[in-house]
Amino acid sequence: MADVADEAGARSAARAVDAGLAARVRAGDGSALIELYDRHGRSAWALVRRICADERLAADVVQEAFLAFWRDPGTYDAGRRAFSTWLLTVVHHRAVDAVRREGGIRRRTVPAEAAEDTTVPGADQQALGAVVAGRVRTALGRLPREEWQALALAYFGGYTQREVAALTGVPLGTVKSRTFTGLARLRSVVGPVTGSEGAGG
Amino acid sequence: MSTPQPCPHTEQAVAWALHALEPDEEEAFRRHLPGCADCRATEAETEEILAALGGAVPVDEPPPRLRDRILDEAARTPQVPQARLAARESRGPGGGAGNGPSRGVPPRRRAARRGRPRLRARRVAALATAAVVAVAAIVGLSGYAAALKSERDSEAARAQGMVTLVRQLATPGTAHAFLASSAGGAAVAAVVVTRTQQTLMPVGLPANARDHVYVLWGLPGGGTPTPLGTFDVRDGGPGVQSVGSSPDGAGFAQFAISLEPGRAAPASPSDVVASGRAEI
Repeated sequence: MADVADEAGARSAARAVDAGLAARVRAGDGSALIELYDRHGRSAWALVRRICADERLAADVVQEAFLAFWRDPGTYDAGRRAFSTWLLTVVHHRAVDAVRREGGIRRRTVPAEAAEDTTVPGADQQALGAVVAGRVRTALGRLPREEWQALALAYFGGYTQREVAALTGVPLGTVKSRTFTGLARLRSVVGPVTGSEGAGG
Repeated sequence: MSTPQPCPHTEQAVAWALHALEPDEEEAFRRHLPGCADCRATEAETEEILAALGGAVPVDEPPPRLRDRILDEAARTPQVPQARLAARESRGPGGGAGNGPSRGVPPRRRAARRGRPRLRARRVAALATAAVVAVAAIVGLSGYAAALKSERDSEAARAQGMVTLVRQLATPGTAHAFLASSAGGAAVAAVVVTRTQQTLMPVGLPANARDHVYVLWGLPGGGTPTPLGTFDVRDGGPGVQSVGSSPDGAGFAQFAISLEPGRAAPASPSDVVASGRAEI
């Protein structure tokens, strides 16, 4: 498996490539947008598809996220976070908004705990993603069930924490603390936080 | 340093990054976030962890047409002008997901209240000057934005035309020709001929005067030229255009373009500006 130093190097190299592509998008280069899609479209799609059971809805969400970035590339600040982090955050929020809008007819999916490892060969980002994803899945499998539930119902199910509390029959404060603790456990396997937020505030 | 006590809203920051707050709580937190370094750090860290969680979903191939759709839509979609980007502060990650622009911490202006009359008068004058400059900048910017938009629109139309042209090339029974002003010279126009119509893309033809017109001619092997249609070349025009239709257009051995006085095609070309052999 990949060495930690190698992984950090691959991570910053991938991040530099993405930052360069984002700068080209800012300069109006459509081919850079498609390169970013080729690098990150699969993981964005996989996440959105998990949240929106409906494939058409999922396609609309991913398309709109990329087009919104194209329309106004300044919404992404390369100094603040990696493009992959930003993109997954944006598509997550949009997907959750979409399933909430769908209301009654939506079918929210509660994720299965075990997930098979699917590695797409090729691009650096995907190879790197597979390494981290494998570790995250292992860590997820070790999370206490109630922490996983609080986290997954919100993140993959698109439920608000208040709804999670109602669904699981525990007080809202408990949902919040379980989520917090669960995330803290995952933090150690994610690797160093690459954003430079500290510098700004 | 700036906040000796950790912010008590850390759990809200986690819920905010999860997009799992109720709308009213979300609104309240949106106001809190820009002024709280603790919560911004928690937000950034939570986003990293959640992105890793999102990235752990087994990879799934998106439908291939999604890529094409994004490509097509981007070609049609104008971008926000750069000048505005530079002037703007950085925003939260939500982008279009309902996040408004972030509010930076406004500098406190207590001094203005204590200002003496004379000082205030000077401030008013300075503000008036600033306002004039700002209005000029806004007018200038919107003019720039409009120019940029129309430029991008025509750019998008040209790109769309090219796509149509290339698509026609792939149709069976289609001939094409590159027309140059001299043998072996650079092409000034390309023509694509199907069984029913001719599509022309001028690349190096000068704009014609309004009392002149370009004519596209088809030359059968050893026969007399037949006028196929007329067209105009304008600066910033559509680029690719359809020129006349002829039932046996694909049968010509050669094509030529002439520039003619008046607005109609004569019986035979007077001033041939470009020609080229048909290829299949």
